[in-house]
Amino acid sequence: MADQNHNPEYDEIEGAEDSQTAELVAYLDGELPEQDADRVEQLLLTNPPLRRNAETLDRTWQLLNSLEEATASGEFTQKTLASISTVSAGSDVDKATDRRWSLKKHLPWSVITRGLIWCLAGFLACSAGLLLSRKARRERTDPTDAQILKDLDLYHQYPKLWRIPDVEFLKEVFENAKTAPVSKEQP
Amino acid sequence: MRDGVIGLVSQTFQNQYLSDPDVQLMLKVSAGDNAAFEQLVLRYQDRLVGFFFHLVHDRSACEDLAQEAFLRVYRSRERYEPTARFSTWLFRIAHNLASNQKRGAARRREIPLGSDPSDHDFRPQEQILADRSALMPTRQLDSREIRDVVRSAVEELTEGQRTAVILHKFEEMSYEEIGEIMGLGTVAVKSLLSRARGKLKESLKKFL
Repeated sequence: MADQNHNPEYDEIEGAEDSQTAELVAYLDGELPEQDADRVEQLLLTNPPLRRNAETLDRTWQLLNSLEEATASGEFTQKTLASISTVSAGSDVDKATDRRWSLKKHLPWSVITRGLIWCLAGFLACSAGLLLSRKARRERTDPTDAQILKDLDLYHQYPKLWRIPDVEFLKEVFENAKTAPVSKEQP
Repeated sequence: MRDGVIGLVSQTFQNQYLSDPDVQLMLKVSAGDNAAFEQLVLRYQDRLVGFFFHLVHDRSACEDLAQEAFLRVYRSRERYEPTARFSTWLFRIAHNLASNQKRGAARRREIPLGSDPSDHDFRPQEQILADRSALMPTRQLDSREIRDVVRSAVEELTEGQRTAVILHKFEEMSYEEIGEIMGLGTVAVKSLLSRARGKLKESLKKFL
């Protein structure tokens, strides 16, 4: 698994590395196989400079104990659990959205087509109903009202017509119009 | 046939982690048990905060990072598969988070996550020690001063060395676990720690 995630940034194995120090450190860390550990122990017994180096490396490691350490504050647990409840709520909304999308995704075409046909039929039925209701309303109109509507233009001319004194006057105007030449300048 | 064998091998590897009680808790979390998640938070919060604190040296920032790591665990609960010990998986998330934060901070120059020599006005450890010694020639450095010097020495390490040192020293993780967390082979971890210890020895030789 480690090799799959291999990160060359940290790969610091170089030819110049002191392999003896690496082995000594691994020994101090308890990471050497038993056989290798025995060999290093023998070396330490017979090689004082190596032993001094091992002791220095060990003391260096002990100095790290002086570093300040931290633990979680009193409210850390509550804050963390509160933040995950927000995530939970968010994920519920996401799931609902996903369900809607997956419904659209998995709905068969036949169902979609059938739905569209039903929508079209509904639209046509509504239009026809509207037209029929308008026609029926027109037919239901009162005859007197219908005559008034028919003579509406005449009623608009009423202010001019009321000046006509009698029928004879109209006849005279009609006769004059027939005999008089048509003037092109005056309409 | 081949797929069957691969599946069997994969199952075998997965099953070896099923004995980890924290893996069991995480499996409960993935089944929707939030009480199990609370238990995991309680078990790991101090370790995670401590890990980040060694990297950022800021209590508020390290708690934010630890909280984000737990959030990532929770968010990935439905995809969780026990392919490692829970602690290894959790610290891998934490390590990735710290690396991303470090890269982000380097771009923005906002939060100093540890410090590389190139990140700010850097003085060699030798010089810091010499300065301190010059100020206090006749007395021993007190524990706080030693702590500051050790901290500076740790900050001098590369990001990889520092992470490996923290995981090994304070989390008592094996080379193999550190490798799994950092995406390295065991030999590379051995090399990182050897170089780190060599560097620390040089930086702190006046105390040794």
